[in-house]
Amino acid sequence: MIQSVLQRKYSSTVVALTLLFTQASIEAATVILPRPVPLQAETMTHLRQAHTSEHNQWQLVVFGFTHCKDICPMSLANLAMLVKAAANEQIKLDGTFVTVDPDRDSEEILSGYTKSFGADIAYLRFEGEDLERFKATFGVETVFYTKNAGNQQNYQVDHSTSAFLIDPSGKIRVIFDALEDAARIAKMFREKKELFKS
Amino acid sequence: MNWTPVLISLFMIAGPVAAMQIEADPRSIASFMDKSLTPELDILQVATDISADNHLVFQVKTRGEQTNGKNSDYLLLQILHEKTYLLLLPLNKEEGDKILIYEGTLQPENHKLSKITGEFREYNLSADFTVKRIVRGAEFTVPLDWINYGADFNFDAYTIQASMQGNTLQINKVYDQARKGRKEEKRFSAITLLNKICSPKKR
Repeated sequence: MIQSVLQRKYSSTVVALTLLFTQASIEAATVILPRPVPLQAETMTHLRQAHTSEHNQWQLVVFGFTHCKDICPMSLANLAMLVKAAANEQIKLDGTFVTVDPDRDSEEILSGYTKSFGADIAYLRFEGEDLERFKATFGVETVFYTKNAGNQQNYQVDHSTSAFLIDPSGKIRVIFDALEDAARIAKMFREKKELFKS
Repeated sequence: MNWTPVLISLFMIAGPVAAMQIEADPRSIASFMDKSLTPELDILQVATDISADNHLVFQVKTRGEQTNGKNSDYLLLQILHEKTYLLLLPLNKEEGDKILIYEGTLQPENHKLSKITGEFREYNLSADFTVKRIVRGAEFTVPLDWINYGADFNFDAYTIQASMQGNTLQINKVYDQARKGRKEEKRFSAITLLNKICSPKKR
């Protein structure tokens, strides 16, 4: 009986470990959606209101939090780089950082944080149901580690590093990894200009 | 050295944590090994990825493979996406690589995942659906432009014995199911799945 239980446990763990190692080898994918995903008008209104520019802009959106020490700064730096790369190709592009951690990311903190990456990066801050709805629109999920009643300051947040390129009509056209694929997207700005005319 | 105590300790500590993380990932299913099944019927893993030609790829791996044997045994990929879609490949290699696709309505009971109940009829709009055999398994692909990103998208895999009567699929026996033994799964939207595939890294 015990041997059987151990065997089952062993088998499960081998499978679990196999999957973990397999997933570690999965590479990021850039997807140009053949069937663009239309966003709700409310979502586009939020994105456009974050900027003072015209309404015929493309939008580039990333999610993160300002206490993130490594992934999010890199993601924001790439966002800023892509906004400049688009401008060089006469593509009108706004970059927006959306915080998944509004409890620690105040408007003031977000303003200073995004400005440190470039004056043309805007931010959005939602709370509660509004944040959950906005995240769900982009399929963003978050996991908070060690955040509890006694710990409201020193915790980590697990979230995806996807970036979303949205056309002026409000459709998600490209999904990519903000860390791995930024250079590929900059190249796309140079070489696939027909995509950005539509 | 006897590694058993070390392995047992690792299992006790790491096992549940690993399982929780795997359960939360919409991209894949880690399936429990079932030694009571022959290797080709025992599903070990289902993983998803995006191909260079804009297809969503489902890689289903089994413990072994069947070169000959029963013609009525199939590897089945179930997709729950507005309807229920069943993609079948004969387990017997001698049967060739033709993909068979059936559709059925999304019943409340199979909306919960992990059930294949109801009536399934041949699905005719399936020109871009493909399947190819790989070592110990198969890769099913569906075009990205087939997917409605505003809808939920979930999947499971089975090994089954089935027969076809006209354009209707009759499932006679289920040997294995990738999600067998799992608790009720959280449902994911298609955009969440795509989001996860595009950014596999974790914080």
